[in-house]
Amino acid sequence: MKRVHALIILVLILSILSIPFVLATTTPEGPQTLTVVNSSRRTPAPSSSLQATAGNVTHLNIAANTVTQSWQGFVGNITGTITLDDSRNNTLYDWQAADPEGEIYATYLQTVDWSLGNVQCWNWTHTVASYLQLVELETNPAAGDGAPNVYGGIGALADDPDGVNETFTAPGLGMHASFYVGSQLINGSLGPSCPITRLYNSTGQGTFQEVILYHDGTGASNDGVIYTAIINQSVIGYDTQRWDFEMIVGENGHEGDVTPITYYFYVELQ
Amino acid sequence: MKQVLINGLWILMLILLGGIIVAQSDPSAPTAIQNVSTMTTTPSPGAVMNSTGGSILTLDINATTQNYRWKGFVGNVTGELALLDSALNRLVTWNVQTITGELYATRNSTLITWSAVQCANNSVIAAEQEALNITMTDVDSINTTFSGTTHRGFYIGITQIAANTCRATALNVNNTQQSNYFQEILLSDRGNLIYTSLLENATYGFNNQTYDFQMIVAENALQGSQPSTPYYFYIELI
Repeated sequence: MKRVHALIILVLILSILSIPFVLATTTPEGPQTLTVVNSSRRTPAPSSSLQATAGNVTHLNIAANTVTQSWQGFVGNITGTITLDDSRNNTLYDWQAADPEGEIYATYLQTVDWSLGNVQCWNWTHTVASYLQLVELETNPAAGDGAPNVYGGIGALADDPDGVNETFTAPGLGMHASFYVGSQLINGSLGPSCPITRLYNSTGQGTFQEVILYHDGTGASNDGVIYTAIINQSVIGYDTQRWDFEMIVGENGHEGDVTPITYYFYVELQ
Repeated sequence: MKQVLINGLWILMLILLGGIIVAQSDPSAPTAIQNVSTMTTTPSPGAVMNSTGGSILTLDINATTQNYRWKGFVGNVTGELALLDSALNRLVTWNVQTITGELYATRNSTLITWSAVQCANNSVIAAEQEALNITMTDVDSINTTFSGTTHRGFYIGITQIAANTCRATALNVNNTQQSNYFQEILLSDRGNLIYTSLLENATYGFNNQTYDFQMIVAENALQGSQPSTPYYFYIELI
């Protein structure tokens, strides 16, 4: 095959359209699809009967299970695509991730600014008036301190066994996996770590990590918490089935409150 | 008469020598690279879910996330072939009407040893991944991305790369995977990885606009704010 070699390129101009030059600009974003496969709650146990006889005093020990009125659970699986897209979502190249790693975020905030420094661990010991305090999330986020008025807290009392600080460890006192929210490092070491809980596998061991982050939108009426599930890859869950994530979010079901809370879901895959 | 003959032989030798030099022409750095625009995807808003307390919802989630471990280059090439002397004086030039050749990109800042270029082997790929903090088994590692060997044959200077012999992939056309156009091949020279895009001639690319090349190169896989990895470009037109 006869081939003509280039001699010397004298004038050569490459017009290059480059797709992200800057690293780590990825941020959490809404999933392509979010499908509710099913929804279930505990089936109430039948009543126990006891013969009552006049004149007797009977001492009883009672053990009972009751559905929490403060939390809603989500479990599920995630499939994903890691892509190289332009601003119109045209795809130059993509990679299918059957079992992706990353995080799932759920928040009652309608908008979140994921820029560096805006989302960090929720430190409920941070006693600044404009910052969301533990008692405010458990009862009612104080009006005027940046919390959205659409959210009324989980309705728990301070001594409830299923309150926030009874469910999640205090900030800095529990270890969890370190991860990034966009370009913000969330350090899981003791000290800087977030409030964390571990949801159960089929033997009651906590294998699904969930931490609470905080969006600080001071003055923008969108301060609040972001429940964050760290994705596992097909791990046996609470019901012996394999799940990629398990998480709980606060929801007030006390005193006959049946009004659902709207949560906004975001995903960040790695 | 004898002197004229000797001079003629010298001229003939110079012409032959010139021919040899021409035949050994290697890829060279482009004279100019113009960054027309930089684009990335716009994040989607959060998905809404209404729920009441005390229940457990089972969810299936499908998500797409922009890949920060790779960056893409697409664009067009204009140029000309020329006969130059060492002072870059032009003897003759030819406008290139139909773009054919290769575009090369490497992290190596020193001049590539073009005579030593060959298909990148596993150890070169592994070393590149280690340098960029890429895990070999990741779904988007260099090793996984360039898992195929479908590509056209081509020359680098006088070195032939036979068809379907090197690790390769092909970039999308009109948002669709395909293997015939915009092929990208992994080469190396003495251990340095070289991404090689086979030039097309005004061919429809990933966004249904015409381009002469599409290329992806790996970035530092560390999370958080990291400095952009510089790449050095070379081009060979034929």
